[in-house]
Amino acid sequence: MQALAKTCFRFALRTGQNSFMSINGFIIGLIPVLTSLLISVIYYKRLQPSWLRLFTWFLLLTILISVVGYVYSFDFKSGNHFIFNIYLLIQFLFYFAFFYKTFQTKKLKRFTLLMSTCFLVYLLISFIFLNGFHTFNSLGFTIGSVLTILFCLLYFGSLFNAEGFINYFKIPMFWIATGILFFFVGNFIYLSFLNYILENNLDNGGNIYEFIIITLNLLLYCFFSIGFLSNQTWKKRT
Amino acid sequence: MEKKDLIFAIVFTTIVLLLLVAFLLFFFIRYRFKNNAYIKEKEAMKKFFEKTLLQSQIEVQEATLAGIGKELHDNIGQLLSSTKMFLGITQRNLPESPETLNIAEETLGKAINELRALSKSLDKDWLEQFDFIQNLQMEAQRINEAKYLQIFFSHPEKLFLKADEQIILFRIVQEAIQNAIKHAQAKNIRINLSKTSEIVRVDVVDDGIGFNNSIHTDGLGMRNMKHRTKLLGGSITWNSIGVGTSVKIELPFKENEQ
Repeated sequence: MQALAKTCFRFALRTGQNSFMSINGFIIGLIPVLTSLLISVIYYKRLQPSWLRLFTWFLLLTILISVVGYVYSFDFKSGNHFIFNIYLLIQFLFYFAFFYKTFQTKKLKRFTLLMSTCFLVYLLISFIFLNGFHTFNSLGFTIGSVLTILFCLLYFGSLFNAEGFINYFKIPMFWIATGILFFFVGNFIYLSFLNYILENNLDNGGNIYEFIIITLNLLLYCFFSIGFLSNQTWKKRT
Repeated sequence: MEKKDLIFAIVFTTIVLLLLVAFLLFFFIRYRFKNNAYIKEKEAMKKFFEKTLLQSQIEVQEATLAGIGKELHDNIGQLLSSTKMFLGITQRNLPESPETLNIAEETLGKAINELRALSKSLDKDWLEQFDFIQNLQMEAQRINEAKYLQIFFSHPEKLFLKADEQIILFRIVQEAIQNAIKHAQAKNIRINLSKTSEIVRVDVVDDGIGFNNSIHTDGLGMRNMKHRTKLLGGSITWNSIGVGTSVKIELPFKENEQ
């Protein structure tokens, strides 16, 4: 049981995207997000539409939470799940708000708003009455992932139906949504079986998940960085 | 199923799903590329159609102007020449020709010259024999002789444009001059023709009363000038602040292609 608890703790740490038990893994995980943050800071004023600038703050928060979560677990020798529960809430609501701003039709905007509200209500109920705040909410993560994938697909669907000449490669949102889609699709299966994997100790030492998360992180932040660099508006000015 | 098989299945499914997403995105992008190519092709065809339409319009206009020029020369020109001849006969028959008759004969002579020059400038065949600079010099000379206003024309030695392009450019400048005379009541018009390796630029600047840029934007003359400039793939802008008007015409120019 102790071993299982230890593993659970370890997995929960990793669901924070950039936190790993080994210092090497932790640093490797931080490099792509730091690079992405640096690029978004350099081109901060040129990022258009202006709400794209929120990404800089979001990336900063991601790094901050990863570091705090990592340090907390070692310095205080106690569970850091609550930190990643906060991050879970912020991360998904940020992505949902981001898609809400991106969608052009009222129908999609309303749908995003409705789903976001339901998700928020579920998470709050889960934190207060069901799982508690100190256990990582893996079901919340799964639901959030499914919704994010759904919004990505809806976004691509609206791009597909858009009329006129469109160069996807010059739309920051295209790259960002691509990164998000890869990340959550890649994460989804493993996390859906997370409880089963933990109970049966299938991923001994969590090495497989570590490999998956490093690869997906790299993909996610690479796409984010390309998105920040591919901004059509500022390229025209140069 | 063994434990190892299950974790393998999970990793395998994840890889398959990621590949599926990648393939979907690939086809999604490919479709858009094809669509973009189709849109570009459609736009190019539309442009070509518009250009052909404009070209036909210009050709019809040129033919009409040539017809008017011919009529002026052959009909009215002949009538005026006959009148001048009769005036000359009258002058010779009178013992002392009155001053008013002399002035009338002189004015009529000028009118005939003006008419000849005008009919020449309307004749497309005549235009094709000369380049833009020569045509405009003659036009300026013709107007300067009337002494209502002065046209100062500065230009490079030669302008390498196709004959039909030169005609269209000439008509644009002609319209600008006419506007300065008719509407702006200008006393001086400065025409500056310059070229770089990429652009041919004509500035027509007058010292007339100017006009309100925001109100007078859609007159027939201005519309024609815009149409003609568009036909040449260039741009035309009017600038009038208080006194005077400046018309700037810019045409793309590739020395090697001419």
